[in-house]
Amino acid sequence: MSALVLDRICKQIGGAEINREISVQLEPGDRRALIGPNGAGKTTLFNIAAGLVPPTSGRVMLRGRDVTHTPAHRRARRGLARTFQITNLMPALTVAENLALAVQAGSRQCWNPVRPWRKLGFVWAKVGELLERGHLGDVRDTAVASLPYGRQRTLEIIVAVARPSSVILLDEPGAGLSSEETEELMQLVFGLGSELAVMFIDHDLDLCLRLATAVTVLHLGEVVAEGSPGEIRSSGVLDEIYLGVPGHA
Amino acid sequence: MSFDEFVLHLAIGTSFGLLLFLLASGFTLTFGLARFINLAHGAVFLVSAYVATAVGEDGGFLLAVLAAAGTGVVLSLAVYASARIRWGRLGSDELGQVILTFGLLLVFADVARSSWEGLPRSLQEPGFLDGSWAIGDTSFPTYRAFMGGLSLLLAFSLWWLQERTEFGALVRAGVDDREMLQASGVSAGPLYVAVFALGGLLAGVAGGLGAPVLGAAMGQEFTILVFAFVIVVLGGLGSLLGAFAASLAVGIADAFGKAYIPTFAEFTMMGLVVLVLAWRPGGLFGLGTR
Amino acid sequence: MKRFVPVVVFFAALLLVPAFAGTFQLTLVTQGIVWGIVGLSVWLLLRFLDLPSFGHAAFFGVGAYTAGLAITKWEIDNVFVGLALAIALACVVAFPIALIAARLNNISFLLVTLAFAEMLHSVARRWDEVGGSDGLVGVLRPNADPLPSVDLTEPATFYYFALALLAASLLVLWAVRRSPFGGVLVGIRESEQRMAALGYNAVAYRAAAFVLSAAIAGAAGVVNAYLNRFADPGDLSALVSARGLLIAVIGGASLLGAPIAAIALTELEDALSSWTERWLGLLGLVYVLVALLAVHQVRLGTLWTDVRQTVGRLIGGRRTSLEPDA
Repeated sequence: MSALVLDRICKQIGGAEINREISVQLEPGDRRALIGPNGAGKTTLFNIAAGLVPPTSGRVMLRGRDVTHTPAHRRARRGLARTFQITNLMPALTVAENLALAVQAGSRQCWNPVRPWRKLGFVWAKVGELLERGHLGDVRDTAVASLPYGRQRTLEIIVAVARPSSVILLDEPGAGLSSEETEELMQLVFGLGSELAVMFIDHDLDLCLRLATAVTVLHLGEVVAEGSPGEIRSSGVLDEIYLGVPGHA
Repeated sequence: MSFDEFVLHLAIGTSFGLLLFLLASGFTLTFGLARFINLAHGAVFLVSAYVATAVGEDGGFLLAVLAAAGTGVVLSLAVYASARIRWGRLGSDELGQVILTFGLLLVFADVARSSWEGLPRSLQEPGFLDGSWAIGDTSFPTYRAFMGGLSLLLAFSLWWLQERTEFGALVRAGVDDREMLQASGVSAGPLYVAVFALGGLLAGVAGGLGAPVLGAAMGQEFTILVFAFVIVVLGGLGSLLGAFAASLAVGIADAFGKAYIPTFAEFTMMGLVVLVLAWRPGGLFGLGTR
Repeated sequence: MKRFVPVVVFFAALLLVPAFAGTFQLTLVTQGIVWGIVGLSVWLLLRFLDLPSFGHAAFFGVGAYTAGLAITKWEIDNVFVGLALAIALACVVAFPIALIAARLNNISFLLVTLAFAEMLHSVARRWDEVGGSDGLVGVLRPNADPLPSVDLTEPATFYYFALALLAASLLVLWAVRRSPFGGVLVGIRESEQRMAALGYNAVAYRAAAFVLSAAIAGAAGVVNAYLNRFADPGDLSALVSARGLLIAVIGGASLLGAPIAAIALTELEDALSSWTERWLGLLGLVYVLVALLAVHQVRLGTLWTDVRQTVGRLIGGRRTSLEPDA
């Protein structure tokens, strides 16, 4: 059973067709890069997959289950995790608190209005682990708003993977970071489990083609090519869509 | 309920709804363009209505409505002027706007209370309109038809203004994208003044036009606000078309409510809010959700 | 331990009031405590979720009327039963409103809450069963069984009852603030999208917080009805909601801010109304001034600091340049 299936997704906003009949299949263990020039509709596709935005038509299947009309938070409970292109954390809360919220999601204790939060041992133990994993131990009690950008990005990733999931969508995880830093973050995610299905967007084509096991190429809202990184590289489609150079086909 | 009664309530509700649109449109315009919540709008209506009743005593109906319109403009501009004192912050501070305009509502209402001793007043409709039309064995007051008709005319003018004039284009542009408006070099200041004035004008006309039917009485500043808010939320904040549809829905629901469950008339409106928002949290045409 | 000093001082001061105040002042401070509890209920939603409610009069009024009806019509004259019943009813009324309001953006939330409260206000004015526009009079002080020798007809005793309820409300809010639930609420305030992406049902949490805040407002209503010995449509008016919101705003980030602001505002309202018939208009000016003097966004509630800054700036002669055209 596929981890995530996007079946003929169409999205129209106003008069513009952002996504046109896009189909993508994500298997467990996949590291699929979603590439294409700006405006190709990548982030919109992610938002549809994550449940932030409804598609105009088409279906989203998560582990065999139709979640097209399921709200975002329920998809998250079913094992879908995502990061945001523009860092989306809780700025007024500390790093540790952000992680705690990520870790405890789904637990009944979230509704507890009387017990002190810091007494939830199982939460803070896991938080400690995650802080180490992301080398964020020294800023555990710093408000996220005060963190330098790079560390915020790291936290953005760690928060998304705090709880086990089956599908992870990384939207420009390295936005604003160097290639090395981006690769580090992505390897962190890949290292979480071989059964994990990861789909990622990134501007660094080279990085994408290097790290991916499968590639989907979008252009002007449509899928124009799909295959292994090697196939995509040699097909010339990238030259066509990025440089306008007619490829050999 | 006989068919005649049904038609009667429908007519009453429609004419009232059209009047409400005048009020609601001012509120939704100021919000749509300037992102400004003007709670004082209810008091603008109240004071204008009182002015109409006062002027109408000796000056006649037309003068009364014109005076009300003028009052509306003046008071609305006063609200804008107060907000401009700290526009840098208030422009984006909704809660600050709420507190400011609620304070102004209290001030305006108290002016009305002291000027007219807190007593309700009424306005005599023009002689040629004081009859009624028969609908089967019920009758529909001619003035209400006039009130609804004139409101419809004004609503149409507003639509024409928004869709067919340069002023309207600027307002629509501003509603859609304030930054673009600024970038295109149009100074927002005069535009805002015009929109506030227009909103005040409509509220004033509503107060004057509605006076023969609703009178002027303390407490209206709140009850009329309820109508305006429900309409604006149902129709979608910033959408005139939504406000129009919602005004009719609210007016009609209110008419049937007052006729059949007078003590709990408001429950029809509550029910309407519940139904519409459960189906579309953003309002019929708008952006009310998070 | 140092953090508890303000609380201790606050309650110590309040505990001493009956020793120094005459009956009238004592009643006034009790009224201030009532508004403080209302303010806290609005504060909960405002601070934790950025939700400005302009309709808490609805729950305050339901609480007041329930207490009134309990004594005058249902022969329930025990204060604890009255309280429990009123809080329960306030929650029942709040629940459907919560489900709708929790989905709305801040402005729609404000408009809808005000609309609902005003609608209840209109109903109360017309509904003869609850006294119509005259409301319920003859709401006698209830008994405090099983507490021995507690006579709520005594002003000082009743004052301590109100104070106890204030303490209870503060305790509840304090607990929520340091609880996981409170943490989730703040998370939702900070980034609802992120929280949803993590699996939290933001609407459900907002609705729950709404009902909790309604319960607190309902409790305040009960005290108000017993204090003034009546419940009337005015308890459901926008003025009550506005007062609650203003207090929550002035109160700022600290828990004690709201009750202190409430007592101050109550004293001010009383002074104004004794001085002139135009006190409502003057009160309106107070609201206007509060809105204009705040330097930071009003909802951030740093009003006291703002006032000091603004006054300082004016005295110092340096005026900030007028803000650019919007």
